[in-house]
Amino acid sequence: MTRPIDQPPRLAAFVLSCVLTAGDREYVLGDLAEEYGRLVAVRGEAVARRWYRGEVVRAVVPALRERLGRRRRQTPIDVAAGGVSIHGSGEERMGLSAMPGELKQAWRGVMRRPGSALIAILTLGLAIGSNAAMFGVVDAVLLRPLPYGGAERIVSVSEVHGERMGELGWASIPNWLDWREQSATLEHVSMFRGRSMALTGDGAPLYVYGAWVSASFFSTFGTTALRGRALGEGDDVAGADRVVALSHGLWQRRFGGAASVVGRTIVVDGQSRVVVGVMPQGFNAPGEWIGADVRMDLWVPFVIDAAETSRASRSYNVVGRLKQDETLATARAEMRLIADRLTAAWPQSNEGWEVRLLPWKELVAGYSRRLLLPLWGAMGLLLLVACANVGNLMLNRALSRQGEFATRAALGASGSRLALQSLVESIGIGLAAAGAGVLIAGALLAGVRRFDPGQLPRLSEATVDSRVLVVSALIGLAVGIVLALIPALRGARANVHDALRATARSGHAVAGARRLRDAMAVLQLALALALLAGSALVVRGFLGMRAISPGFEPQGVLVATVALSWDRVSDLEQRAAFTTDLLERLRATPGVQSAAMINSLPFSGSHQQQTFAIDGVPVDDRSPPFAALRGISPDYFTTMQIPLRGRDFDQSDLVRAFPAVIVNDAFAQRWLARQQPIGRRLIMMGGDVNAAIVGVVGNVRHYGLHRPAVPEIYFPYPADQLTSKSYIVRTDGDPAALANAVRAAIHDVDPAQPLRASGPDHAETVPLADMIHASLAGVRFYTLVLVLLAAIALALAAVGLFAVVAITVTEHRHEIGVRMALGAERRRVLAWILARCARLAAIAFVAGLLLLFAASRTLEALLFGASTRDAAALTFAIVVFTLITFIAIIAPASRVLHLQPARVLRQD
Amino acid sequence: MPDPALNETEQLVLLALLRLGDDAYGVPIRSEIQDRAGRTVSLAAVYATLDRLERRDFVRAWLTEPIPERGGRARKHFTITRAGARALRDARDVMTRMWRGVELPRSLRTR
Repeated sequence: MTRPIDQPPRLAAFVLSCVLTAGDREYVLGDLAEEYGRLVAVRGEAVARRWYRGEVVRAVVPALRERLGRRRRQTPIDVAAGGVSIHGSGEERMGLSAMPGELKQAWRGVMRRPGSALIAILTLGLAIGSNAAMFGVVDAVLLRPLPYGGAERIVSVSEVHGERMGELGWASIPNWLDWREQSATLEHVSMFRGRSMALTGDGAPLYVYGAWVSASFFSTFGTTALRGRALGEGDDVAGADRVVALSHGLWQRRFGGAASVVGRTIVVDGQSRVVVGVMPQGFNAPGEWIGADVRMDLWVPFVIDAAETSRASRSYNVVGRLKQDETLATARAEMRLIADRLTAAWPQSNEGWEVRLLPWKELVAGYSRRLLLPLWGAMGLLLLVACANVGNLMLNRALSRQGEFATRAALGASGSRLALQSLVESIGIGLAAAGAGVLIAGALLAGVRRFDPGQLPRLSEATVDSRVLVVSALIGLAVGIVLALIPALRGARANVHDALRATARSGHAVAGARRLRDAMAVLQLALALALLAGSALVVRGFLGMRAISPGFEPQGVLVATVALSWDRVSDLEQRAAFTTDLLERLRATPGVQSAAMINSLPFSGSHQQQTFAIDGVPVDDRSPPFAALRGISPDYFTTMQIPLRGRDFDQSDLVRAFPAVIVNDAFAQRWLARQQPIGRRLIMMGGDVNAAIVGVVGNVRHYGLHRPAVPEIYFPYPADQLTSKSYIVRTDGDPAALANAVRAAIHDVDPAQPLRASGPDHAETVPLADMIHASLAGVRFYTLVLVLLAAIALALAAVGLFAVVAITVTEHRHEIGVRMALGAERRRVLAWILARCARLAAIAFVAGLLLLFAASRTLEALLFGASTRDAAALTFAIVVFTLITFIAIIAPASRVLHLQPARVLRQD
Repeated sequence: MPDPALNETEQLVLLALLRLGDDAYGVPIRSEIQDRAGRTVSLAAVYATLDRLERRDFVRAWLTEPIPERGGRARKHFTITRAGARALRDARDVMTRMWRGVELPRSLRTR
């Protein structure tokens, strides 16, 4: 009857043999093999294999439980002696006898309830992981030193005049030269100016971003070239050979990383230049100061132009390097003296201007810090919620093991030994959570790098490195210790008699433990409410920002930006002709409703400023009026659908130089309050220009939706000196459909004109609506993160509350049973429980709101102008909080309605 | 004090033991329940039940010699004890007493 055994699935058999104890292994595997053989003969191998695997799956959990059950049935002597088993059963096979006693006990303690340990690890892992990821971001963006030699000694030097220049620091050439000559605390003082340039000659024309720099620029940043040499002494002297230094990125992209690039001649802005060097990878000065996603392509020596020696023309940037033993304070003091000296010598241009020195790092990171730190704070709150949540979990574990502790204490284990066991268990869970957290952090950082909105510098470098690992481990350790304190306080002081008696009633909590449990539930709820309300406010701010009108109609508009090479089209007339020609072609393109040009497109970050005087109004030389300057073509306002009062530029305006200008409402309000702007004359460029205001247009949010509009002066493009020009076309249908036609039109006018790769896809033409959408990418991302945090915190707090209420009901079962047996109505009993829980929720409510208001200052940075007291957002948060809390209380509490008093009393 | 009554699976297992006599081990017990009672049970459930019964001294177990046809593995056989038989009889009596004089009303009859 018995036949030779066919071979069952090996992996399944192996798994089963691992979980079974030695005593069971033999006959169980034998029985399974026997039945397997029978099934093979009767129903075929496929069915038999399937059956076998199913049996293994069904057997694993009971087998594990059986294993633990056997451990639980150890004699007290085993337990009190710290777990060294006299009988030497299953533990030896697990290799536990090799571990020191406390670790073994801790492992056993965890495995007694693997479910709750797993929940604790996952919950904490999520919170630790998000904090570790945040640290990774903060480290990359704020903490890591800049890749320059002696980076902490690099400072920006700029002149500021009241509120005029805002955060940008500018200086004039003559002032810079004087600082350079007179400063004893600064080792180098160099000048730079970023600009778009055109790279031609070798291959397709390329729009690049570079900087004019003075000779000591690279020395100021303490960096030498990777190949060849950096620009240096003698390169910025008039008559010197024309040279250029390339960035690592451009070298790879354009020249394939060829070693022969040094010495090669390339054409930049129409001028032939010899490549003298390639800078190291990661060197991006001054790009990181100009903008978070600016990548420098090349550097060109700046030859001082006699025309730019006006001391009042502050259009350049200066960066300096402190000498080895000088401090920022001494340098600042010295610059103040130098500035005073210069003001005395040149009062007209320098009066009222302060010289400001700021660490370069601060300039680069300051904005990021205001954004990142509140976010990190929010994640810290989530960690607290998770700790309180898990803390309650651990408290329950400890309470339900009171019996075990009391027994051990009765048999001689000391209080400190029990406390030590708790500590080891908690730290183990904390470190395991840290391990899970590292994995989660890795995934989060990968996501952040992928969706990098491009507004924080060096964000793409955030990764799980040794520092992140260390921070994770430290957080895990700290969390473990904190969690250990909770049950350790209870476990170590087990009153033997009470505990043994209480065990019979399945772990009824002592009053102190109950208070602690309630307090932690309240803590979770309060923090969750604060996060919820905070994120609601941020969402409101974001929605509000999205709804802000930019001042023009972006739908249906396509943009292409070119950089008209400086020397290529050097004659102003020639450049104007390019625009005229191109606009004609664009207007003739099928599908184009209207076409226009502007030299500094809104949302492109470009900036040009000009001082002026109003005819008939005396000028205060120390703080002359100023406005942003924009060169446009006629039809710009109609193409962009910006409302206009008065008249637009026409063909006659194009042939005269600066005959007429148009200003915006902000200008009229600021400089011509309550006066009719049209007809007034503006005097600019030191008197060279005297133009009449012929129109007033609506405000445009040039610098972003959340930044208010600035005073602007529009002038006709033939006088435009900027090389960068944006051409816009409006169409009825999808603007992207015109991309090829626009590119073709530009190519027809001048095949060698490179287009700027911009917008979210770095395409050569961009729908304007996409540009605006992309400008919100950072805020959108941010808002999303906060909402996610709040949702997780609320979920954790709700689950925590649910658990507390459920346990409370269970604990009071006997009391409730008595009450009901004595005639109390179920509903009144329920009301009594609800009242108790509602009190907790109310405390949490008040605490959460207080926390929110305490943090409102920090929150402001994230709201981009919205109010911290927005009624709609707060109401929403309060409603959601109340609803969730109510459900979390009523669900477990309503079990009371189904209690059978007689049964309850009999059971106890 | 643990509940002395047997649940349904325990009764089925004990009855199978009685039917099989000395041949009772995991595989035939399961087959017996499946063939006679029409209930599909996993081997794991059978073992778990036998384990419980053994702890309550309702069955006794012993291991055979290693059997070559089973890859050299022994078999664990079970037999019912006197206490187990008593418990089984009690369970039957309880049901008999409850059924006595009971007719399923027409509306509840399935056939």
